Amino acid sequence: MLRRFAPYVYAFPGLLLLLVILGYPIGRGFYLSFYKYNLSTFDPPTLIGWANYEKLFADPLFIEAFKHTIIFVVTSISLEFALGMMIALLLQLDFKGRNLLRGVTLLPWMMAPVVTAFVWSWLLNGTYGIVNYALTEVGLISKPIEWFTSTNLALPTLIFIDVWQSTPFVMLVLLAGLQNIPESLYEAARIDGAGSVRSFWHITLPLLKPSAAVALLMRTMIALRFFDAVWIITRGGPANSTEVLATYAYKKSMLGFRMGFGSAATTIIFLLAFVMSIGYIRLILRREA
Amino acid sequence: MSRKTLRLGLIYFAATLLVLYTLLPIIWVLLTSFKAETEIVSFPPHVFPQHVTFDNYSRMFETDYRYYARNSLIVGVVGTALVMVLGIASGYSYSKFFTYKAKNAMMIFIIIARMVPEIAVIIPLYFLMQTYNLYDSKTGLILMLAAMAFPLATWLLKTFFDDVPVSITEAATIDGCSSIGVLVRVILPISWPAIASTVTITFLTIWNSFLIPLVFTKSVESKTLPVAISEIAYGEYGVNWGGLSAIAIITIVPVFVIGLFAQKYLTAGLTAGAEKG
Repeated sequence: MLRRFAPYVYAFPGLLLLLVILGYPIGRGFYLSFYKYNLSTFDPPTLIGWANYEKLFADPLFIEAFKHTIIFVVTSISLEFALGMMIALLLQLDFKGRNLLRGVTLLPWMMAPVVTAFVWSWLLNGTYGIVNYALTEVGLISKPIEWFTSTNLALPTLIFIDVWQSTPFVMLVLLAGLQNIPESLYEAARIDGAGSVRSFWHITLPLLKPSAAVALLMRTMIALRFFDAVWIITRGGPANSTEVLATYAYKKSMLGFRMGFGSAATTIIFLLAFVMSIGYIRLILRREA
Repeated sequence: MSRKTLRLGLIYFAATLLVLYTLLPIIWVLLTSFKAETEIVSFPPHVFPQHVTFDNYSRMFETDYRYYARNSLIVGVVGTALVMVLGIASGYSYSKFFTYKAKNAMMIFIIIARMVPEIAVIIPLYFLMQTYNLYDSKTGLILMLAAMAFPLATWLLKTFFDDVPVSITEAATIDGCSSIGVLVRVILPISWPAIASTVTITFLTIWNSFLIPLVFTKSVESKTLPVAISEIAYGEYGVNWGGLSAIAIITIVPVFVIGLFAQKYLTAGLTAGAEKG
């Protein structure tokens, strides 16, 4: 009798924490998204149906933020995979100091995104930044580059910072995948006369697919919430050129006190993450089976 | 030059580039933290400080920053402990040692919880924390950050527990061990590498978190280092670069120390998390 209930007892405290801190708020947020509820007035919440969502999709700034988020997710993740693959291939080779190098490569991933953002905002500072100084010294540029204050450059610069920080994660997952490929496969290919380029395309890449899929999902999920570096460096500016979904929702709710409207925005963000998690669950269930 | 030497030369060339790309930004901030303000904005910039000063660090400990550092540490340690207690129990429940009706549904709930972005829950949490007087408190912060880190920890521990051979636990069960006895006396003692990696990843997640502390902390009572950094780092001018560099270095140090000692476990945990979901 006791045995039958034991697993429920073990799982209960954790589930309770999740229900209170995540489950209930998601439901409440969905509910709030149908209300007009402005904390800066003393009006009680009033039910307005889908009006918040209509307003949301009619807001050009929301559409901009959506676009920037997509650009950010697609560009940064593609670069992280390309760079991560190159580094993983290097770190898989056998040479002295390889393990130390693996440890060093991981450091950016371990840093708080807030700290990473500060580090780069100092290096790329328009006036005192060492990067602009160095580029001027070697004669590559004649006047300082406005990394964060130009509307064309701010988002690409933020993407670069994310690539610097997150590539180690992608690299590590790919490296683990590479190490799981049996050496005998490469040997067989060599005997059949395949060069290293061909074995890369026909053995390495196909066998890396499962690890790459997980890394891709995890990175997409994290990149969708992209907030920290934007908040530290540009706060969505200049001229909204770096506004993303998370900063948009944060400004509307926590700074603008529009809790109903803000909830509509966060519900959309949740739904995007939810779609990702369905893909993820299918991936895991297939593996567990 | 033989082909082998050429190959090795190329490898070390790439390795050097990789090290410079990774370390130079951090080293530059470290150097900045030892410079006086006048030297930081001097032109042309000095690579190495002319006069090494510890003012940026000592000034920090004379101001509220010592409280922010203390809060970060308390929240990180207590939050990690909470996640580990709940995560070990839950991970055990979801592992292969139990089969029960609601197991799959509960596991799917954990996976979905892992995907929930913080931004999606801050508005209702704001009301919840206000109602229970937990706004601007370490307790509230610990509960929220623990809930965010809990799903991944549970999942990692579950996959590790799944690798424990049934033969060992069966012997203990026959000897009359209850299920909690099997966990404490048989599984946990051989799972310490798993626990080490989960502790590392959980502590990093909580220590580095930003959006939730930003929304829910206000005073020296609960504000953490990342929030403190964000308040003074925004903008091109008038920023105290020396002071900020010192705070950034202090925020990085515990993380790098952990990385140094736990790199093996960190890698193992990350890899397991990625490969097995």
